Amino acid sequence: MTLQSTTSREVAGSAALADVLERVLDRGVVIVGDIVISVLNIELLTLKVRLLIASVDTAQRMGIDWWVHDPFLNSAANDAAVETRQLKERVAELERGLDAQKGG
Amino acid sequence: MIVVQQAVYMYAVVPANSRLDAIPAPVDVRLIRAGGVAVVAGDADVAELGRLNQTGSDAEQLATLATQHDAVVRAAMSAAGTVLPFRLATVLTDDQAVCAFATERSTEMKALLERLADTVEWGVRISVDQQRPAQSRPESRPEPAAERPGTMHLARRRRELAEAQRQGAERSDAARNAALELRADVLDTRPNLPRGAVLVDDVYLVRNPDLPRFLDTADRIRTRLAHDGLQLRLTGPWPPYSFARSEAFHV
Repeated sequence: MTLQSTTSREVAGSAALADVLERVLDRGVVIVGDIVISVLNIELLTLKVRLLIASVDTAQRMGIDWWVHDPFLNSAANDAAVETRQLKERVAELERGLDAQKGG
Repeated sequence: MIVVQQAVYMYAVVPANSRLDAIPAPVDVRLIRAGGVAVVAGDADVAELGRLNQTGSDAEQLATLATQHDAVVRAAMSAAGTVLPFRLATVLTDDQAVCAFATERSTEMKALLERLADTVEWGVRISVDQQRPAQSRPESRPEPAAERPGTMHLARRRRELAEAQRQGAERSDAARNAALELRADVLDTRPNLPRGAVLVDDVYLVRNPDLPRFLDTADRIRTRLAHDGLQLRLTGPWPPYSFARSEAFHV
């Protein structure tokens, strides 16, 4: 089976980097023990790499951003902004009315 | 603490009878045969890996290393048929250490290679479509000069929240059912926990003969889910990164 076959769907582009990172960092055969090179602190290395991924800024630059957008939270936030604006307009309108009464 | 300049970078384990001459690898790789398997290995750039280990190392370097690792694993899979990919930056001191590792873990690795023969990995993620918000969701419109804007505001928020909850439950059900349907065509599943907008995050091991059916099912489900405002994202084929794990390798 050739992996570069026509059945390949989304892996080819650079958009797949997030998927590649997820796999090469978190999956695959892991060996731990005294025969593993310890001088480089390779286990530390992989931990650091994970920390790097955990940084939201870095992750977003790499196209990993699915956890940032909660549609319900986002739409709620948008709605709240609209509501606030409408209420502020209403207050301003009422205040104008009061001013007009005082003036009159 | 031993200081080394040279080390061996391991990409994957392949069957012993594999040949590497067909590998169009972007880096120099060789086969180290031992214990009835072969390890696809290359020279580790110790200095480079060390830099990656420092805080503030740049993301580009990691991206390059990850892409290269994946490319070699894929090339090895194309050439050998079956691979057990190693995690990024798996480095042993020298060829002798690689032989010792392969010999020690020979039985488990041969069994895994046999199990993974003629299979590929596919990822399926079902999430709420950010581009297509709820179809039945009432538009928020400016209220006409209302007598009690505060009360009306709260009542509307309550209705919207109830609607969002109902729709959320519906979508979760649809996504779960879709995953169950997909799992029927596969050899094995590694589910990841749903979070946020991601309702299903499964990794499947698919036998090559079952692949056309699996992909058909996925296409059909994608169309169906789109009506519910859900997006199905399929990635693959991958070398079996998620299925090469064996507790036996943790020594």
